[in-house]
Amino acid sequence: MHKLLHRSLGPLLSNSTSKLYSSYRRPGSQPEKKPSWQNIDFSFKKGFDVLKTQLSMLKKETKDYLVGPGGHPLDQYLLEQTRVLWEFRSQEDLNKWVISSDVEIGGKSEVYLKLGRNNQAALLYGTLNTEVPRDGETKYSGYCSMRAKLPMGSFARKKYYDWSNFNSLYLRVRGDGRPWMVNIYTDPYFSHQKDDLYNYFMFTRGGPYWEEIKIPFSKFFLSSRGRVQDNQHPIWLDKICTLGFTIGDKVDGPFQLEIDFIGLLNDRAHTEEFAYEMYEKNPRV
Amino acid sequence: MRLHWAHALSRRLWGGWGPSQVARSMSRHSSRPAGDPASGAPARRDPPRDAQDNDRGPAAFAAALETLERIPGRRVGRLELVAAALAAMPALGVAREREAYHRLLRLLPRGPWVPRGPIQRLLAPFPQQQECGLQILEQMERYGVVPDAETRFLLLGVFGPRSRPVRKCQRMLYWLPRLRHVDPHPLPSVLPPPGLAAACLGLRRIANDPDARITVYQRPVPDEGDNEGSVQPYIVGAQSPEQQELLARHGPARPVFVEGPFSLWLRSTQLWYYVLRGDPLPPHLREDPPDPERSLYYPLHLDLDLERGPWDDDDFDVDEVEEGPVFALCMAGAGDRHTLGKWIAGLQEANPVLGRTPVVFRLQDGDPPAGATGDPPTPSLGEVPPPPAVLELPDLPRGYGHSTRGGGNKGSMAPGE
Repeated sequence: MHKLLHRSLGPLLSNSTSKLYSSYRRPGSQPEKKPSWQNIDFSFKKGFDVLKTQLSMLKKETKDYLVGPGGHPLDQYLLEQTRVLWEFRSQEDLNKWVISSDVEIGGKSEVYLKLGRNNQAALLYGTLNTEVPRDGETKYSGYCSMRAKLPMGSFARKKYYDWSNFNSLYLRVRGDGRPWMVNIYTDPYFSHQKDDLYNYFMFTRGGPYWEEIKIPFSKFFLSSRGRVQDNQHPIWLDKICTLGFTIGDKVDGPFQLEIDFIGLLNDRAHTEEFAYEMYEKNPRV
Repeated sequence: MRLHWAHALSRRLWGGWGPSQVARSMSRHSSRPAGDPASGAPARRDPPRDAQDNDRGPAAFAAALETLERIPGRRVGRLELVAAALAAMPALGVAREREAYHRLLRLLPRGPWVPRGPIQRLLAPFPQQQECGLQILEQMERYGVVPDAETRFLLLGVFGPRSRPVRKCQRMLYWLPRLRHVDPHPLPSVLPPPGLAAACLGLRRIANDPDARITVYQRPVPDEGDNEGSVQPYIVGAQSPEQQELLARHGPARPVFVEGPFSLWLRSTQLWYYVLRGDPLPPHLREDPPDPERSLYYPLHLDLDLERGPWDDDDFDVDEVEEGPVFALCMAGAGDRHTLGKWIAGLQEANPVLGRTPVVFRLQDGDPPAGATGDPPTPSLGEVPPPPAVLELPDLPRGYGHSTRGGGNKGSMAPGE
């Protein structure tokens, strides 16, 4: 009976939900046979550990809330012009990041992340390979990326970064002359916006010197699934989920990027609200 | 698009000898890269061929398509032909020319694919044909070709207004010119061939100092671009006056290091550079010693705190990355110690203190020759050589025993050697 029900309703239920929220599935790969609840570990010990960590997170959140917004005293919060979001000085700082490459679509790029010399910066390195996977559908390949993990509150509540006090992103990096793309993901309100990203470019100069790169948030443009959208709007700075870097400049070969820290800056000389036109840019001729 | 177009073309789908000849000649080139022909992805790896052969090059592409345009009669197999031509374009070296794409658009018939009336326009008319136009535009976008008014005019004639290719063309007309000049360190549109000129350009770029002097210490002996079989590789170095001061202050007591090779990319050209650097000085030596004759009542330099309040604090609360100063940069046609020793010898002319300083070579194993464009033997993990302890003050260069060479014999080397 259950099997019959599953067979009749299965495509309707599982496919509709998984299509909405699942990520990329490789062409030719079989759909997941196991139902999703079989992947969950229901052991008591794990539950106890999770409860312990979550309660300690809740305690810290409560303390921070009593101190002031964002865990800072109010005067400090109001007066701050700069904020360091991520710095890379230890292995724990690296654990806040996820790296990925086109291996997940069948490509052959490699990417690694480790601490730099003297544990002073993060070194993202690897090899870009634009060889297209031969699955008959994929047309382009060759990217590597690094992305911050999603901020989570206690008991798996969603949390966002609120960057609305600032207007620029500030990075101290040392690259090798290849261009990167900075992606910002905001929490989508509707599920059809879940692929929306705000992008801008980060051009490294190369060479032995560190360089400070300042990217105003007004420059970020909206794209969805890699296509720039017609209707642009400024980024919503109070619902930021993650920040990432992507390299995909269609050049085969090794790349590397050292990141010292990533911060926010309130650049009072920058008054631009949005760099792109807000009117209908692609008029229906 | 999936059908193997080479077979389709050789069957003379459109009749007449002209097109199939053309298609056969093009198929010989484009079936060479692996992968499906519609992708055009392995394009960047193949350098554009020289037009030495009559079958190849932009002229062959133009001539072939011109023949096609003149053929009267029914226009069948146009979509397959355009797909084949798109796949062949990178190999023929015309993927970055706007006129080539215009030629492709002129192949498409004008009129029959324009939807008649609003109802047909509503029902997604001519999907395959519009997809073909989109593919042309997508390849233009991929190779950075900005469409112009003529592209839009041609698309309007083929697909009609408000069609998907025209909309995409308008999108590209907005975004591509806008994002074309966002690079703050632009490179020239045509890069010099790998060799001395590219090395000078790369050094100028990474020196990041208008005062830096770029010196050619040794010219390549066959004065060609590539260094294959060259007797004498080129050596170019860059040093600014500030770096000379730093090197003089570093003193002969502490060793300096030649590190490398580190990679530098100029668009799709990879270069390798070497750095002469020292370990960070102890804090009491970093500043100039205070003048014992200075007057405390009439200080000669003014140090005013110009912040108006606590909201003016623009510093980031991070620890500084401690790294040794960089004294000079170099690019050479060969990465062996002999060549770099010549660079150090050349540097001694401007920096006499280098003659008494021990120079330690910390070159990575399997270092590739500089100027090699395509295939580096090892992915150089540039800034992280195996010896980790750099922050300790270098009383003795121990731990680098296998690569240490005392500076004494370096100093005795004549500069012009």
